[in-house]
Amino acid sequence: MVAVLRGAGVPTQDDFHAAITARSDRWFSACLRILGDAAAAEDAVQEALMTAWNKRAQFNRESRLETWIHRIAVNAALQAIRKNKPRLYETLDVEPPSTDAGPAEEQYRDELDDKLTTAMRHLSDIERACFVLKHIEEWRHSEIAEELDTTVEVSKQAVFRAVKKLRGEMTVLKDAIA
Amino acid sequence: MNDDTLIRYYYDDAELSEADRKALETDLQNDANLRERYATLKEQLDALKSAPAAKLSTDRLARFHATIDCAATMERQHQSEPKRSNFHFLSFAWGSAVSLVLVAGIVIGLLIADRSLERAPSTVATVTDSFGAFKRGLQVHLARSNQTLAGLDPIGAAEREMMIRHIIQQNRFFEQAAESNGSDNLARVLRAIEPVLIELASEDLSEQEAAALQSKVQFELHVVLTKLKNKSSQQEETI
Repeated sequence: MVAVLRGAGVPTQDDFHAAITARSDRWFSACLRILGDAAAAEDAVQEALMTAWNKRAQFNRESRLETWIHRIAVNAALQAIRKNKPRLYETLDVEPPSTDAGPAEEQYRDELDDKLTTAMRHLSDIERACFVLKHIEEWRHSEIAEELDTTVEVSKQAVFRAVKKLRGEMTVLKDAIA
Repeated sequence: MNDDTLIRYYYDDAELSEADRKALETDLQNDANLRERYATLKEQLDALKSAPAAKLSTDRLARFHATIDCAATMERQHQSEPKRSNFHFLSFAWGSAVSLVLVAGIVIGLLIADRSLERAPSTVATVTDSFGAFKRGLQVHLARSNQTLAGLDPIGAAEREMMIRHIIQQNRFFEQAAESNGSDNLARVLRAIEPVLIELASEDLSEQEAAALQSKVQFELHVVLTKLKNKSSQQEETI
């Protein structure tokens, strides 16, 4: 593997490969939980990698490359949500789509083995995004509202709704995780 | 007390006023039922935080690694090219025209070469069978590439670049497979498409330039795809 160097402190190709090996499952999980779709999550991670590579000269060595890419991946997932903005707002007050799984969906679930993601299928897009950003990524509501181009109140309500819906699944989840 | 207040208390990011927080803490100390409700909520939410990350398939992990390799390769290629001060329409037009002529010529050559192959079916049955499977795979790749290019958002430069790099990556696989199959003509067709794709992935292009170049590549892919489909139909008829 040939590293591409631009100067001291700029992450190399090898640095990126090491980060992918160590943490790409986390980036993918974060995007998957936000988007609820494996293909879209993969696209978001690939886009994040491209962005990170192209902007690697801006990377501050004081932070970790994996963490930096993680944030870019989350932003890429949010960007994907913003593209579906009308749908995002509609889903605040409508029931989520049916969770009946087709053959491809079954395979996807088997691959994931992620109980949380399965449970979050019951959430609407905005509930899922706000919950993941608040609960897993530990963002503040003001940050979520800014990134999703909405209000703090909408973010709070989405998290409350998500928590209430997920509580029904949580006992099963806890057993599965334990 | 409703669950919303308990949830706000759990997240502890100044959503409750200091007075409300102290009042709630007092209630939690004095009210066993409320304390139990909060303990259950906290246990459930804490469990969600420790949920494992999704498992990555080896294919998906390989694609992530390939994304960086592809980006680095493209960058090296880009750096080795002479720096363009700005876009020259005549150069672009000449490049597109030359590429079109090259692709058309190679496709014709390929078809002629394949016709020669058909004349001796008994000696190359196994080779043509496996080559037929390869061609079907290639047809899918070309059709998908065409669909991808047709669906590209002209405004999303980063997205366009990523998708085109993915097409280039797939293209290289088929190019190598064509060489392994002994189809040098087809490998050349695929190689001829790549520079145009690289041009299309460039950040220097304006939206109009990208749209024009996109149409050119789509046209070239469509031509190759149509030729391959026609060729497959002819083969089925002879069988």
